[in-house]
Amino acid sequence: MRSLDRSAAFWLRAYPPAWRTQRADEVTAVLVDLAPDGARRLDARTALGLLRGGVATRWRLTPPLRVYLPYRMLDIRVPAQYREWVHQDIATPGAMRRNLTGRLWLFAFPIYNALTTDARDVTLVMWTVVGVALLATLLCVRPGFGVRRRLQHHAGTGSRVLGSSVWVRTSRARVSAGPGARVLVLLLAVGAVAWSAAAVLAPTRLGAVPCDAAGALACWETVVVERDSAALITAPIAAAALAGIAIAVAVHRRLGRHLADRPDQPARHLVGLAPHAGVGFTLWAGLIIAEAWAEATGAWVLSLSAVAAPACLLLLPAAVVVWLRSRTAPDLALVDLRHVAWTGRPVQVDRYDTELVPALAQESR
Amino acid sequence: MAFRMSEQAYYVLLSLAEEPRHGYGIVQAVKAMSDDRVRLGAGTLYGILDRLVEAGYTEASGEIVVDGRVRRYYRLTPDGMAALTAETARLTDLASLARRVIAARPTSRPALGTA
Repeated sequence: MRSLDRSAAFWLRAYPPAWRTQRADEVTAVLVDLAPDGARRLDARTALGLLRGGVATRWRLTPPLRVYLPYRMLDIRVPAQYREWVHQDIATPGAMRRNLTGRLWLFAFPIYNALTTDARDVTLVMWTVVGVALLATLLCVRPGFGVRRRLQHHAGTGSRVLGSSVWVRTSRARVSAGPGARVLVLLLAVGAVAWSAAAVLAPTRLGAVPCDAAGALACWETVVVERDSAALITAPIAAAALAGIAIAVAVHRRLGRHLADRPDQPARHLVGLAPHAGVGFTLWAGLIIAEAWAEATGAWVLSLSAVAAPACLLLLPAAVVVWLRSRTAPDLALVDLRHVAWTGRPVQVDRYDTELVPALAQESR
Repeated sequence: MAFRMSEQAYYVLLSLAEEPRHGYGIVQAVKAMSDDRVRLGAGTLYGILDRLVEAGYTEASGEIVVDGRVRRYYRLTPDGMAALTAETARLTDLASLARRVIAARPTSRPALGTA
């Protein structure tokens, strides 16, 4: 690339990305034609013109504030005349950054609260955990999946054409049963072991005491007290494990009954996990272990593990059954196994998905 | 939103009324038509073209590649021709009015405020 082209590309960044995608090459050609022979960069007048034009274009293409703010802050649908703008906003690079930036206000009060109250350290730790959990979840979702669903929500309303793009019917992407069930088993196993150990070992628990010495029934206060006996928690854990085995037997029967004769799925293609799902699930496992560790050592009072340990033990045997079944039928999607295991009904036939593609690409198909 | 017909936008419409042109061709045509008085920069030109396309006055009519660079041609639409004709009529009326006012002006009159 010539230095004049680089200079043009730099100043053209004043324009919106979608505009640059369509016009940058054309405008660069004009800038090169207009520049004096041997020029290595744009002169100040041309650069200022591009800067002014870029800002004006951004202003002209962006909806008014009464439409922009509800969309950006609350994800509310925009009127029809701005759907092309929404399409570009969602489908061009930087969409996730813009989307998250628009929702920062949701965290403004909690973060202000965290920095100004006595429980500053605890609140900061909690928000760090929320941030890591959010990141881990985003890593587990395929990038294209979120874009498609948001486009369908904001721009998929009856009309087949949207600007220079058209909605087309496409097969639905489903996560294969094998990888999906394996991750499910791993996470439930980590949760069952870590939270069960934390529930048994936790040195403190929550207790309720009256507000005053008279023991008035109308007022109770929650306090942290020493753990006296582990029997109250080991009994529900053992019961959950037994119930989990009973559920697994029922799930095994359901899968055997409904998966032998399943329908064809012409509107479906199977995909693996998201590219960075491994990192996402590792983060989730790390969060579970860290939380359980905090309860087991008394850094945090026994709370989540008292509920999460029985829940994981309740679901783990059924998840193992689903995983074993997925190994014998590689053409299954995780959603099929979940549907049959949860409802006891036959596998459903998927409907076609929709996708927004450039009109030119559609013509060439 | 109503299209705001600036002098530069009028010159761009006028240049496209002759024949379809690409960006650089429009700049050169405007420069020639205005006797080197109006020099469009790329930022100004594409701001005007965007507004003209949005208003339905011009449209892209094709593109060619010259020396590895894209040249997109623009042409006037019937709506664009109608807008150009209407603006020309308005300017003609304005010029007629101006001529009448100037012609009716007395050649010499006493300055105000003098006794």
